[in-house]
Amino acid sequence: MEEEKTMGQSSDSISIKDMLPSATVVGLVFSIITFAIGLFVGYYEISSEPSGSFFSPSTLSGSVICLISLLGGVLAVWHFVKEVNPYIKLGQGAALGFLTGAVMVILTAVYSEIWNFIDPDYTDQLVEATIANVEAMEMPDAQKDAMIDSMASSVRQQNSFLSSILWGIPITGILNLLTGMVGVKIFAKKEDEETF
Amino acid sequence: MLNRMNTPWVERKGFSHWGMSLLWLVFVFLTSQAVVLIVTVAVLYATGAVSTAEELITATQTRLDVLFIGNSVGQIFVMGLASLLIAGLHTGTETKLEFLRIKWHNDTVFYMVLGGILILVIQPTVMFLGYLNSFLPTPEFLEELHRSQYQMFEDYLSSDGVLLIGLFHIAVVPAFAEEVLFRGYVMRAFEKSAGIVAALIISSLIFSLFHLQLTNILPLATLGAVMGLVTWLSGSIWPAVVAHFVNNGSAVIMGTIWPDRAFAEITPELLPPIWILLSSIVLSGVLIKILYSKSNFQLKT
Repeated sequence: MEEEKTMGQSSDSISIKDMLPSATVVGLVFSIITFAIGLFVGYYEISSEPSGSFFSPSTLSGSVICLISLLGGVLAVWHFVKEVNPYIKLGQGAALGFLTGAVMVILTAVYSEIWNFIDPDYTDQLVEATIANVEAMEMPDAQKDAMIDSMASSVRQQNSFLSSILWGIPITGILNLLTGMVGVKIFAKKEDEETF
Repeated sequence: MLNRMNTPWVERKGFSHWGMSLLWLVFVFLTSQAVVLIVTVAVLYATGAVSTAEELITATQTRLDVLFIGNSVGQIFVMGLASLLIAGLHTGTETKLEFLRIKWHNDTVFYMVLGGILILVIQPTVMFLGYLNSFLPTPEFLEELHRSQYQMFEDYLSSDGVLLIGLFHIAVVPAFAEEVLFRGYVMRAFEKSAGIVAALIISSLIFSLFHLQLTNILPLATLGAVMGLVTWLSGSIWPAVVAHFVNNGSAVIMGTIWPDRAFAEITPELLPPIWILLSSIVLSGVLIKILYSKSNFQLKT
């Protein structure tokens, strides 16, 4: 039965439209996970005492979120191979990965906007917590001021809809594009035994 | 089997030509910055110019001669030679050199001469476009970046005896490397995917954005479009290489002889008179018409 289902399918017929369900499902799941982690860590930082350490919870959560979101491309290809077409090519996997990254970024930006309505003080409180953490660091005042300025604008930028989309889509998209290609190598069936 | 070998690798693997070229541009952008840094640090340490981390940080901001060496190495190896290799992924029956239009025709010299003249003739129009560009809203940090780039060029070109080496770093190397990347590789990849008109427009926009000078986007895109047009009409990148060299070379000479004027912000007082601007537009149009009418239709398609 499975053989019958895949018979006649070819990677040549795959279009962006075919990729959208996989990109949307995986993008939706990963955007919820990463947004929830970011929010949890954000509130943890707001409610905790400034540590004065370079490695604040939000710095670490940024790396964790980045690593988790990298799996999006691989899993989107896995979903596509399982549900749509097992014969996906390397370039099509790359496009699917990019699309998944883009969906993830857009949805996360939308959640962020919604959260700004639910808790309008969230961004300001996070900026204040970040500043308090830098102020607790042991370093010259001039360096501290420069760091406060850059970190405060970075936090605001992360929570701004347009800026997170403008920077997020290329960066997350390209990272997931690479993992999408990895996904093809792991999950896709070969139409023939062609080698490079 | 033979048919498959005639199909470009990007098509066999389900990539689009334009998508692959955008990916390559991202790679080139990041790698060339890394190469500049590695070469600069290596040269500074190897020549004994620095011995501590603090000296190194200061030297990366002051030793412009070394920074330019790093930049040229990055351009030659990443933009030029690596793009030559990556072009192999897009070729089927044609060779990499044919794909990049690195070839010579009987009329190439004619296009080289006219391309060089066209770039000189179009300069007043380009200046005017630079003035128009100043009315477009630009983020402050990009304006600052542009100012610091210009300041770096001004400081470098104001050093003693820098003309020849400046011509090499700013005119010769970019003329080859950037033409291979933008007119050779990117334009051709977009042409394969979307046709020549889209390829000309997109490659010239990418060319201008790649310079990270949003405050100069109109003049740079215009120059990119002119060089793209010359490449397409001649079927060879050599006329665009010459045009690029003439453009950058004249800027280096201007910057060395009249730095105050060359690096000044464009104001209405510094703009050429209206009759020169109009003559530039008309003459450029005439030259493009001549190039077009002389062009071989086979090459255009």
